[in-house]
Amino acid sequence: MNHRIAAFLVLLGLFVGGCARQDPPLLFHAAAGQRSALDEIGAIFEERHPGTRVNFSYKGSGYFLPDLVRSREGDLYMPGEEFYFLQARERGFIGEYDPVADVPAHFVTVLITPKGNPAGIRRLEDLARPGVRVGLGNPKSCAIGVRQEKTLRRAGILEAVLANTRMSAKCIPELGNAIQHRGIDATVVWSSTAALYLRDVEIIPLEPRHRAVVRLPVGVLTVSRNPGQARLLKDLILSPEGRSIFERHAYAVDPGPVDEEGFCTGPGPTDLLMQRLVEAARVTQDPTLEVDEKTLGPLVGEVLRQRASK
Amino acid sequence: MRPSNSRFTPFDGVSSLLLVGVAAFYLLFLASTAVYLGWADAAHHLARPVLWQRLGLTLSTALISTGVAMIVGIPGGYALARLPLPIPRVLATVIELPMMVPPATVGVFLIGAVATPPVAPLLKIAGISLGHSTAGVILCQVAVTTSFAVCLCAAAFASVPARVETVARTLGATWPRAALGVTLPAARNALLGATLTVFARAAAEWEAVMLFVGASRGATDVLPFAVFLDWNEGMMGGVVTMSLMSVTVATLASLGASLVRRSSRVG
Amino acid sequence: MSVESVWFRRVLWAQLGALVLAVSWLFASNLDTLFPAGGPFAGGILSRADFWRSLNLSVLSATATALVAAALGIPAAWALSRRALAWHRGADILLGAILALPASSVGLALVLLFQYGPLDWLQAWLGVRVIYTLPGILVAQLVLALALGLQAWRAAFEALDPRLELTARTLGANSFQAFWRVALPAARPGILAGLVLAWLRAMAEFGAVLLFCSTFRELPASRFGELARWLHVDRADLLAVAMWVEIEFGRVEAGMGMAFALAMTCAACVYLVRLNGGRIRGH
Repeated sequence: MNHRIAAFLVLLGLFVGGCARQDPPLLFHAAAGQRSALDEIGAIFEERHPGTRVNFSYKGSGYFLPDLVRSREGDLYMPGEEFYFLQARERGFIGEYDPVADVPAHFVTVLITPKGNPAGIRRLEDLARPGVRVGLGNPKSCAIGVRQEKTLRRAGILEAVLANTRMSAKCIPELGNAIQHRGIDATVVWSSTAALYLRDVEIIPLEPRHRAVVRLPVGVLTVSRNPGQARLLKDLILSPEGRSIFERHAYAVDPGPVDEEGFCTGPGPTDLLMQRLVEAARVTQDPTLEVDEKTLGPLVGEVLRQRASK
Repeated sequence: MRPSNSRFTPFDGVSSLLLVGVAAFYLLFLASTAVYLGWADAAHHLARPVLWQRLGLTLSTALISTGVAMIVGIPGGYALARLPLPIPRVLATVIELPMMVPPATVGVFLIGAVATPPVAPLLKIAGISLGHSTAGVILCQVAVTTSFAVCLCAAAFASVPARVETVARTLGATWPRAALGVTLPAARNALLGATLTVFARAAAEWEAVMLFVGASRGATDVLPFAVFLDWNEGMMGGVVTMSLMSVTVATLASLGASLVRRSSRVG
Repeated sequence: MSVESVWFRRVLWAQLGALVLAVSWLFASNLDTLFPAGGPFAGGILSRADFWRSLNLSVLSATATALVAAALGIPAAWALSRRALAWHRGADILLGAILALPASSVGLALVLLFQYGPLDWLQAWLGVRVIYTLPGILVAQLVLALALGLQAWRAAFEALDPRLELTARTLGANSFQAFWRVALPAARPGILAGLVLAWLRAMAEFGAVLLFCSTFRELPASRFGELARWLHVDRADLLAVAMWVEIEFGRVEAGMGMAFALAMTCAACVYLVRLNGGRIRGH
């Protein structure tokens, strides 16, 4: 009995002592929808700079400002829309910001339904049809919620769609999961989120006037305790290598023509992204189809990964 | 065991049906995770090292937390079981409270508890930061399981009749000696079962961790927490595999506790 | 009484005292958060309608869950107590395993159970869905509340003197009468304790509900049915979930207020049971 007590106390002491001596990693506040691309970039960075760890704190974008104000901790920041970035800048958390150079990629909105499209959704207006179970993001918590509200309001169907809403998600992956489990019939998400569920969704591109292209700035926080390393990571994200990683996860690097609210004003590079996304879903779901880099472009990697297992 | 009787009524049928139905539901419940996943996908995900890191983190933190909880629980449980005066109801309520409230609430209360003296200055001196750290995870697990450990140990000691100790004392042993030399070994199996149950509870703790410590890859993503975090990634396979690991740990601990309890026959 | 005995007794009391002190301090050290300088008490939750709806939802759903658990579990526990030893051992292991499961695994298993396989077909055939609905909360709470109740009720029936029932039988009672008129009243303290345990466990449910039901507070009122609105449980999350949301948004005072509301509700329940002579020795 005494031995057991002594052993546990020693273990406890070691653990506690070990925790006290850890080097603080880089804390990266990023939107939940950024996970697929940023995890990959973070891994590359850690490989190139051994000894530095990157700790991603993924949240719905609406939670960043309260967290920053309360904890005053963090090295990098990449929310789900420029609006949140500017909000943080107003509060003094971001120093310099170059709206052209500091944006590595863009989110693009797309309609998704469960595989087989049980409610027969063809266009955005179908979400207002009675009986359709729609999932929306909470505008207070996540960037997609704000963008969905804007899109539906512009289309004049916000009230009708709200009446159909089955769930109010606090972050975008909840919506993806709900589609995957057929808990809802349709929702609007970023293309990068849709690309995570290729096995289980049907992709329905939005018409250009409903399709939003959202800028995603990245910046080093003024409260960073390790700005040198943080700047290196930011440079990696903005480099051609970083941008190609974003493309592989169905982000749009070139937005094409957009109006001041962020909606497409005509044909552009996002059309090709949409085509590839639809094709990627089709190919992932049908094992007899060939995986062709010409039609899938940078999405080839995702298709192969999701074909490999659940 | 109740006496069996040949007078069969509809009530027998209904209650037996309910019993079988409930049992079937729970078995299906446990099996559903494995059934959904399938062997091929399970093998694919089990090959990823991060899952095993998380399992290691879960088991090691739970081990330490169980140790601390039992160090408090064994003497505390003995006191609860053996003190001649009944504990005032208010005090008993207070002792039981941490295991009756939602664990998330315990996490919230820990936020304030570690920011107030006397704990805050102590942590500062020791140089320990609890946010986003493994020490924070252990603290959460300890806070949630200690009450539970005390009550389980109390039940274990209560199952050893007091007269065993009285007899030892009339034979000349002092009370501490009687407690350590007679009651403790007699309750050994029940205590072992209690330890396993507490371990399972510590390994399943994540709600307090989520509210108090926050997520930090490698340091705080114990399996049940990682299931919740990676739930938001889209690769159901990884999530379900981790959940399967958690379920296995829980089932093995429960099995162990059952076997150990069965092999004790006191009083 | 020897000197060592006195000293030993004091050590034991001191231990209990330390335990009580530590737990009290865990709660009391947070009281100052409720009174922020320059802000309303507890972040103003007492004047927020959604706080009261959340409290309402938690209490009503826990009660409903406890009642359903009792209706299913008490007869099942009775049937179990009359079975052979193998059943008891199996029940021990099965219930112990269910109760040891992390809430995230419970929630995940519920999603898998209800959205894939036979229950999926059943729901499609009936045209109803349980996931992401208010009744889904009941289901998520029921899984664990029922398991805990079963353990307690079986123990209660087991502890009965078998001669009671034997006597009833020889006097001509059938099994239902033996249950309803003899066993149930005799086991009443244990039955009530099990009911309260089930209620408390249902109140404590958080993680499983998060995965299986998502959140309800931000949905429009039109989305909820008549009954939900009449009961004032529309547009509300369980109190534990609402507490988490407040903490996530950085509103620590409001979150702490909700935490205290939860703690006081549970404490009141535990104390009431003890007043009535019952004892709680559960999870």
